[in-house]
Amino acid sequence: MAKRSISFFANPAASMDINQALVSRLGEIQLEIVSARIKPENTQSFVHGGPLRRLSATNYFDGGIKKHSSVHTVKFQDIAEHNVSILRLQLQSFRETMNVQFLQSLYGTINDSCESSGNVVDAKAEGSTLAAFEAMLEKLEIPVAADGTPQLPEIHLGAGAFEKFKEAMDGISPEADARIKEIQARKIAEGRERELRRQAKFVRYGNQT
Amino acid sequence: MRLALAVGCNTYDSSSIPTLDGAESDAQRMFSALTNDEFGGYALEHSLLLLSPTLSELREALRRLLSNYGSIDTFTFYFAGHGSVKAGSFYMWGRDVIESRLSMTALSLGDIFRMIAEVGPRQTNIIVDACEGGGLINDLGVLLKNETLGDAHTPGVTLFATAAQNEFAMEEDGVGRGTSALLDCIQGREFVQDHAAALDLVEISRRVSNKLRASGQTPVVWGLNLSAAPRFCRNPFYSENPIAMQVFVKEWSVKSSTGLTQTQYEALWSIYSSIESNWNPRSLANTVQPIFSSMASDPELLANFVLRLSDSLSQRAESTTDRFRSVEVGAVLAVSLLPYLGSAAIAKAAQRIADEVSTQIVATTNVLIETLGDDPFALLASENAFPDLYLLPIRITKTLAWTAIPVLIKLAKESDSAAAVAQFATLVACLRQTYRYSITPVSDIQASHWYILLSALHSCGLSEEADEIAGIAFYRLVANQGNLLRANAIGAQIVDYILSVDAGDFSRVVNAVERPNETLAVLLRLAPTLGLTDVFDESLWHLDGVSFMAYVNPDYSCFGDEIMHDGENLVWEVGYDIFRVHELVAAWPEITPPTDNLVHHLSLMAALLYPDRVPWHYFGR
Repeated sequence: MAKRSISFFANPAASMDINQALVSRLGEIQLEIVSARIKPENTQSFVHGGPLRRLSATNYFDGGIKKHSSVHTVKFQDIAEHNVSILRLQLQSFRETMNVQFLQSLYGTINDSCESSGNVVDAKAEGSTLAAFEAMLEKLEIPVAADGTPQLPEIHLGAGAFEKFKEAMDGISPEADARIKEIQARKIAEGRERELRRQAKFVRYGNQT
Repeated sequence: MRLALAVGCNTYDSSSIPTLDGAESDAQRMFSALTNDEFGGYALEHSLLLLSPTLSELREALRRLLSNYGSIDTFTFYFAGHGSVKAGSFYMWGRDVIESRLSMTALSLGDIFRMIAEVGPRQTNIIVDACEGGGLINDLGVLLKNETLGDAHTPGVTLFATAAQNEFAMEEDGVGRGTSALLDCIQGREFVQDHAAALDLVEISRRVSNKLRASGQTPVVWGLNLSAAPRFCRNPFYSENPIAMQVFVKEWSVKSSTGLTQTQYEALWSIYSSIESNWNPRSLANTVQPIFSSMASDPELLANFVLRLSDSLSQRAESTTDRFRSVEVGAVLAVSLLPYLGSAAIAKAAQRIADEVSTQIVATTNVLIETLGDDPFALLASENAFPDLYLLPIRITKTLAWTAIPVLIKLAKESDSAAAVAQFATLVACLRQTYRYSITPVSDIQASHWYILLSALHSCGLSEEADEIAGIAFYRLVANQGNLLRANAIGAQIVDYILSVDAGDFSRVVNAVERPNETLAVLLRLAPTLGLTDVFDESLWHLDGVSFMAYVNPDYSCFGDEIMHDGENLVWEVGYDIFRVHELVAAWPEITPPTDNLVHHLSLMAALLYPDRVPWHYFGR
């Protein structure tokens, strides 16, 4: 809509103030969406454009920049009739739209990253959900904190896959359970060794003399 | 000393610059008028007329006029010829101008300002009748610097350009239309006003602007006269004790020493500059009230000062996009005179400004009705829709209350009010048609709006409209559990409030809600008058526990003050003090209304300017 040449008791300062508060509110919603999937301490932000590079990593994956947007239309009639519900509905719609886009971006990027590094397990080729789970455990590394505490990975599943996974785990045989526990223990031990090697690269690490 | 420099440039050395026909004759005519004691009263023996001068001749003339004659009371510079804007500066072209070298070969407005700042005439008038003359506003960066803006030695500067920046100044029969329109005012062929012995360039410019706009030119007027006397020329229509301009100026040279401090000059210039972009009625009031107080011992001085200020600020306000801005500016000045209405001179000035405000309201109401006819959504902001869920209801009730003022004034004066009532009724009908549900309470700053609007509707016999508007307002207040935002609510609180209204849960905005509010007092107090007592009584239990108040102060002279003292904050609580409307009516204090109509009208305006006072005395009349 073109800016009007005349106005009647316009209050642009107040309008801008309210609008900025709304933009902040949208920012909070977006942060909630991201925080629900990624821990804030694992979130990094960049101001400028260009590919991501980690100079020490040979196979660092750059998923590129993905834009998320949400367009909303407000009818004059709704404002004129003081239909306050439209604000709630628009915020709700924004949350849903941005959530869908974020999930698509997140899992799309993870998928692309795994594909590019070959870090993929084919559930069908493995023959069963449990076999696929074991193969997946074999492929990943379990990070360990500086004090030796393992940070176990999260598993994100769709509703159908979750049911299958739950069913498989409920009916797991003692042998399979032992194999999984062995893989997990081995991976944690490997993670601790990796962490110790990493710490050893410092001149000294920790406060103990 | 009153000095004029009139410059007209018809011919140019460069063959690529078209020759003009009327610039020299325009300068001659202006020079003759200004140096004629019957009209301008400028010193003929020292003033200068330059015809097609070179840049160095122009500079030398300025140097001579501004350096040779000691203290200068009024300096008027007139230029007719080619002009243009380049790199943010406005240049006036002399005979030897080179178009590609303007900064070296033409006279910029900035050059003139720097000279004026050093010499400090009491009043400087600059008139430019040239193409793109409005571009001189670009040069105001020079003027707006602290060392020149509000400099105690430069109390007043007025600029008038007959064409806006992107326009050509028009000639008709070899003479400039802008200059002719100015001369019509100076020489008495056009009426400006008849209440003062002299005229100010600002008030003439307002008159000329209206005339030129009709012919497609959009003049630019800019400036403040911060002395108490108009100084541009004699007023040919002033019949009471007419005196020569030079005598008038001499008499006023002592009287008009307003004694403004540097801080006050700077504050006034700052207000003047921010009327468009950062308008706040309280800021203007807080600036002028101490100045008025310091001049109050000389009522004639104060009366003249406020009229000059009113001309300048109103003109500036008229050039903004907000059609109600000049209404509010005038109202602030008139209301700020409330403490001094015991003086006949000041009361006369306040009445004049109040009358102008009423006239402006009527004109603006017509514009609004026409605009709504073309675009029913014209009251919506053109950008940022959501803020209007809060701002639009305030805008509508404020608009309706201001447009009710002329109606209430006419009804009070028992003068012919039919036209005013008809206009008001038309606007109410227009707004009810498109914005019926936006005529709703969202903030307690609307308390006075409701009071004045509903009083006016009732007084006009628009009972159906009054019932519906009051009924919806009360219903919404009940639905919102009596929660209205405070005047100083910030953006985030406003967003929360809108969401709270939708959810019916106000727990997120408890800190932003006005407690006690004055809106409920207004609606309950007016209920018997509007015949809504039973309706309101039926629903009053929904507001159980809501506190409301009325501030009552019998001293109307302080009704424009930021904080009033010596009044009473009367507080009630539904379900404790009040269970039915008639209990409030019975408990309502005796309020003595002002005996003076002017005080009454100014208190109505004050209540609309400053959102924390209700003119409860209206029903006492």
